[in-house]
Order: sequence, then structure tokens, then C-alpha cells
Amino acid sequence: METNNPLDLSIIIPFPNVNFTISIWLVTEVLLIIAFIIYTGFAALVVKQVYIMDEAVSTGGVSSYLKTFAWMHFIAAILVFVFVVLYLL
Amino acid sequence: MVAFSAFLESPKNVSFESQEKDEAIIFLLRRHWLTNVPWILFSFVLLTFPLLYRAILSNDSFFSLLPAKYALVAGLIWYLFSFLFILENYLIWYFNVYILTDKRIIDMDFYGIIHKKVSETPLRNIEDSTYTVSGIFPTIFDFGNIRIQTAAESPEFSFEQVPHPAQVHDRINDLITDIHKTRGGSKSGNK
Repeated sequence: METNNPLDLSIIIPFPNVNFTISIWLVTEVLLIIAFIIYTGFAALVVKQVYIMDEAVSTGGVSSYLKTFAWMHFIAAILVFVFVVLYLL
Repeated sequence: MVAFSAFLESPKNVSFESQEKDEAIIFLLRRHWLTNVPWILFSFVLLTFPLLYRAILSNDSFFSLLPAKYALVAGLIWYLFSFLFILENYLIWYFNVYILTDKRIIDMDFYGIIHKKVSETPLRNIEDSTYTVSGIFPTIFDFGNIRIQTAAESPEFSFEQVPHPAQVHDRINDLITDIHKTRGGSKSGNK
């Protein structure tokens, strides 16, 4: 884990014997992973929504392409999420 | 090209969820393709900005503004979001449809990706319809709004920025006239 731009929390948390230094990048990475969990859930929602839209108005061949694109986006979101987790942590 | 068509007359291989067996679709309408230009241009900017940044503004990659470790991740996220932006805008355009059948009109709206609204009214409830073509591009490319007054709980239907509004309006009026004639005939027949 990188420790660039450390935040020295001992200034605001008065425990002299404990090192509270954390990296701003660690916070960024944790937030990024949380954001990606939400994003992957949203990508799954897009897939579901395409199916619901297709039930509402079925237009033949185009719908199957749209479903494929929605699935591609969902799989890409999972792959990027896995990559982010493995690459950053 | 059905994928980019905003005006389908008597379309084949098209159906909707509450369609009855003997119900025929007369028009399936979407917003005119020109209304997609803003998000298409923005998508183009999204996709090309990192490349243009490198080519025009700096010798370094746009993502090299971040620490090296994050540049690749930022690039992946950028293009993933761009893909979602394009997909979502296309889906909303494609599935926001106005359907005129020989029995009713249906307005299907998808706001964002998780909100769906379907309004419909039988043709016999239609009292009046008007259309407007206003502005330079609508006049050149022949698209506009059709407002349909109904006697039902939902007082007005609005077909926004649909192609050939005069033709659609004319067809709606023909259908209403036919229905009123039929009803008038059946009423006088009952007397």
C-alpha cells in the first residue's frame, strides 16, 4: 500500500504512543472499491431493465443486441472491479 | 434501419405488453433522431477527450495527471462510464415510444434507467388533437409535438418531437372520426 501524502491524525487524536498516520490513497482505494461494488450492482440493474423494457415493447432483432450490450457492460464492470481490487490492493 | 428509426408505420415484428390479439399497431413513434445529437456529441467528446488531450494539449496521457498506479484504473473507469452513458441514452431513446393502434394510444416513458411510466387511452376518449412544429430544425427536418386532449382521467397526451406530426395527426383524426361515426350510427340504430 502506498503512503504518499500521509494524513497525520495524531494532531487531532491525542494518543502519543499510537501511530494514526493513514494514506489519502488508501482512503481513495477503499472509496473506489465501495463505488465499484455499487456500480456493478447498477450494471446488473441495467441488464434487468433492458429485459423489462423489451417486455414492454418487443422490437425483434434489435432487442437481442441491446441485451448483449447490457451483458457486456455488466461483465466489463465485474472484470474492471476485479482488476481494481487485484491491482490496487 | 429499425435500430435508428423514429417513425414506423404498421411495423412488423413489433409488439407491446398489453397488446390484444386483434389489435394492430398503426404507428410506433420515437423522438426524432436529431434530438439525440447532443448526447451523441457528448459521447464523442467522452471517447476522444483522452486521445485529443494527448495529441493537442500535452505530450503525456490525460490520465498521467494521476499517480502512475491509478492512471490505468482511471482510464478503464473513464471508458466504462462512457460506454454506460452511451448505452443508457440509447436505451432511453429507443424504449420511450408512442404507439398508435386501431384501438388506443399508448405513451411509454422510461425516465433514467429505473423508472417506467405507461399511459394509455382508448381512441373513443380522444376529444381533440393539435400539433405544433416550431423552430428551425423541426421545420427543416419535419418533426414536432402532438397534443391529444382526452376525456379520461389523464387529460392530455403529448407526443414530443415525433417525425411527420401532420401525418400522425391526420391519421389520429381519421380514426377518431371513424369511431364517432360508428358510435353515432350505433346510437341512432338503437333508437
